Amino acid sequence: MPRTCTGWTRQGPAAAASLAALAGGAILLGSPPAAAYPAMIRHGYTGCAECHTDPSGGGVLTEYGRGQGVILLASQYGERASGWEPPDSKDFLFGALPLPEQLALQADIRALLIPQPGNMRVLAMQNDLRGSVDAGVFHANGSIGWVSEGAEKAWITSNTDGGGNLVSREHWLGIEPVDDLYIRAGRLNLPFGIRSEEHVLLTRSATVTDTNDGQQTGLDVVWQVGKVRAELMGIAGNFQVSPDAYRERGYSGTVAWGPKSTLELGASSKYTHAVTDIEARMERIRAFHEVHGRWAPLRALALLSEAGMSYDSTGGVNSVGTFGYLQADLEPVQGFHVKGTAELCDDDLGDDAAMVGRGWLALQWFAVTHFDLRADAWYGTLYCTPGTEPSFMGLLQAHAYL
Amino acid sequence: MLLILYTAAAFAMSDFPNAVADELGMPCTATCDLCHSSSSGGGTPTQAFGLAMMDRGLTADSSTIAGALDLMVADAVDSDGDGLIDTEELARGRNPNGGADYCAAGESGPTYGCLSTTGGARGGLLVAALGLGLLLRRRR
Repeated sequence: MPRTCTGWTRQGPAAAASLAALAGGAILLGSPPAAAYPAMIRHGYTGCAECHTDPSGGGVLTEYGRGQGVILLASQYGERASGWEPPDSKDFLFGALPLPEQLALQADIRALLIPQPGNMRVLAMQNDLRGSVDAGVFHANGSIGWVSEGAEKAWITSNTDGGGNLVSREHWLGIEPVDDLYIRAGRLNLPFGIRSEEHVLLTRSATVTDTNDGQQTGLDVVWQVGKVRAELMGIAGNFQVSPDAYRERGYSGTVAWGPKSTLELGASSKYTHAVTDIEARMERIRAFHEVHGRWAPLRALALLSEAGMSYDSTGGVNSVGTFGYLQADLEPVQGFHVKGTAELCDDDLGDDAAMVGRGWLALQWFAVTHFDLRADAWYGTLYCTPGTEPSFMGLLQAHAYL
Repeated sequence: MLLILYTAAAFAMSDFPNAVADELGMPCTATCDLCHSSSSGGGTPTQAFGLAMMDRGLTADSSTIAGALDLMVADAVDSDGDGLIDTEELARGRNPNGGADYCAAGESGPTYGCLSTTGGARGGLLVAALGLGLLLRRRR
C-alpha cells in the first residue's frame, strides 16, 4: 500500500516552553472525527496506510502510527538519545492494557467550545471507541460512539428528544487478495479529495464528503501501483437513513500520483442520485469533479489545495457551481502548527447570489502524545450557502486519544 | 490569552427549520426552503412564509420563532391564499408557500438511526456480507 517514508526515530528541535501559555485558551479549530493529517507529507508521507488501519487515512492508528505521533507530531522537550524509541505509553490506554498484535483499539474524545455572546456553547463533538482487527489478509474495522447533537446520518439510535445518540461512523470488512490491492465492504468515508481534519471546509459541505456523518455503505477498491494510488467506491446508500428513497446511490473515486515524497497531485469524481433528497425533498442528481494537490516545499511548510466544479439537478432544475480552497500549514517548531486557509464556494454560478468564502486561521498544539489543543477563528460563512452574510466565528477544541 | 469571539448567526439559523417543525408538530422535518429560495438556506428569506415571519418579529435569534408563529396564528396569515392558514398547513405537512405538499406527498421525512427504522442495519450488513462473500468466492 502507500509508500513508507521517514524512519522510526528522528531527532527534532525542542518545543518552545512559551507555548504553554496557550494551553488555557487559544482559539480552537474544528478538527474532524477522522483525524487524518495530510500535512504529514512534509515528512514524506504521501500515503496513509503506515499510520492508519484505514488505507485511505483517518481513524484507528497502527502501532507505527502511534509511534510517529510521538516522534513527529507531539512537541519535544529536550534532546533524545541516539537509538531512542517511543515508550509503551504511546499505546492504547498508555500501555496499561497490552493488546494482541492483531487488534488495535483507540478511544477518541473531542470537546468543542463555541464562545457566544453571554455564554459558552459546549459540544461533545466526538466520543468514539474504534477498533481494528487484522487477521492475515482479512481486516475488520468499526467505531461506536455518542454525540450530544448533530451527526444524524451516523446515528444508530433514534433519540430525537435530546440526550444524544449512539453513532457508528464506520464499520467495514476488508481483504487484501494480492499485494497493493485492498477491497472493502461496509460503511466508509468517501474517497474524494484530501481527507483532512478540517471536516467543515466549504469544499466538504459542497461535495457532501464531511467525515462527521457523510459516510456511505458500499464496496470500495484501493489499488496502488508504483507512484499512483487509486480508489473507487460504489455507493449503495446510507443505511442509517430511512426510508430508502432518501439514500444516495452512485460512485466516488480518486486517483493520486506522487512523483516525489513531498508532492502529490490527484483528481476525484463523485456522482450520486437520490429519489428524494433529504434537504430538497425532490429527486436529485449531484456530481462533483475536482483536482487536488499536496506539496511540502520545506519541512516546516505544507500546502494543500482542492478545486473543482459541481453539477446539480434538483427536481429537474440544473445548476453548475464551483468550490475550492488553499491551505498553508506552518510548523515553526515541532508540535505547534499555524494554519491559514482561504476558501471559495458557489453552488450555482448562474444565479444572482454572490459567491461565498471564508478566511480561516488556526493554531494547533500537539502538547504531548495523546493530546492536542486547537483554536480557530474565521470570517466568512459556515456552509456553501451563497447569499449568506459573512461573520466572525471562533472555536476552541481539545482532543485526546487513548 | 482567551480571545473573545462570537458565533455567526448562520450557525444558529441552521436549526430554525427544525424549531419551526417542532413548534407546529409537523409530520416531517423541515428545511431551509421554508423561508429561503434554496434548501441549504442563506441570505435574507425570500419565500412568502419567511417574509411573513420576519414581519412578525423573526430575527437571527431563535428565541423569536415562537413569538412570530403566535402572531402568524393571530393574524391568520395565509401566504398562498388557499384558504388554510400557514401554521395549519405546516401542521398538516403542506407547503404554506404553495405548490406540492411539503412532506413529500404525504410521506414522512427521513428518519435517522438503524435500531428503530426499516431495513437500516440489516440492509447495510447485507451489503457488506454480500460484498465480502463475493470476494471470498472469487478468491477460491
